[in-house]
Amino acid sequence: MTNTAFEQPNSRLGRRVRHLVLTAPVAVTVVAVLGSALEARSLLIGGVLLLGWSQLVGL
Amino acid sequence: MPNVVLYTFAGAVSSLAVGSLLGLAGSWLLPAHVVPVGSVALVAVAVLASCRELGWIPLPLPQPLRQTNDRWVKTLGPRPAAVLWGLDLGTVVSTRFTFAGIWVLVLLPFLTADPVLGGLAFLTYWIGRAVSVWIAPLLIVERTSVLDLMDAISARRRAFRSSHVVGLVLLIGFVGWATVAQL
Repeated sequence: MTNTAFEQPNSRLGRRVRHLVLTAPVAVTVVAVLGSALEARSLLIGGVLLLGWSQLVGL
Repeated sequence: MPNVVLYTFAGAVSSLAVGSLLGLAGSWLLPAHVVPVGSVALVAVAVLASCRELGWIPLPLPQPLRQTNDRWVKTLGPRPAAVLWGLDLGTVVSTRFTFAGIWVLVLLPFLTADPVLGGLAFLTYWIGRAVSVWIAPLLIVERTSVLDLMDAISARRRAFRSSHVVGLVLLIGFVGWATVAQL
């Protein structure tokens, strides 16, 4: 059985997904926490954005 | 209009509606003196959900048992299906949950009795969820099938679960901050 594209070590798809999955939540969290200094709702927006984002794995 | 735009817009409409209605229901049904207690309840639910997702407490996840209807595209065509999928998934509460923190999102507008906050929360949630259909084409490289992409995403379930928990922590921070500000 041949490997799917993502199973091949360091596949381009695997790297892209890994990069996105790690950097997007970090960016949202940093912006939310920094933004909370100006507006508390920044935490709300960042929090529910991450809840929605995490649904991606449920497809 | 591209189907992804129809899907996103339809989901935004239903999200905004459901979030606002939950807030209105809370304002109608909850006595004023109960609302501050609701903040405590929200934090408790968020903590429980986080513990569940971290594997610290084995809790069942009450949730709807249906998924959106994938036959719509065959029976109705791609454009009506995109609208219906958006409307369906945008309600949040009509299809299966992936993680337990959705209960915090559902309870937030009701327990705070705030339809504006509810609409904002649900709409923002939908944006976070719908962004996947916009970025998926950017991830697909040559000779990569959609199934390969879904497998690659599924392999990162632990990272998505961690993101979910971080989201809950941010929500706990918001509820705590808002509660202190009202004192």
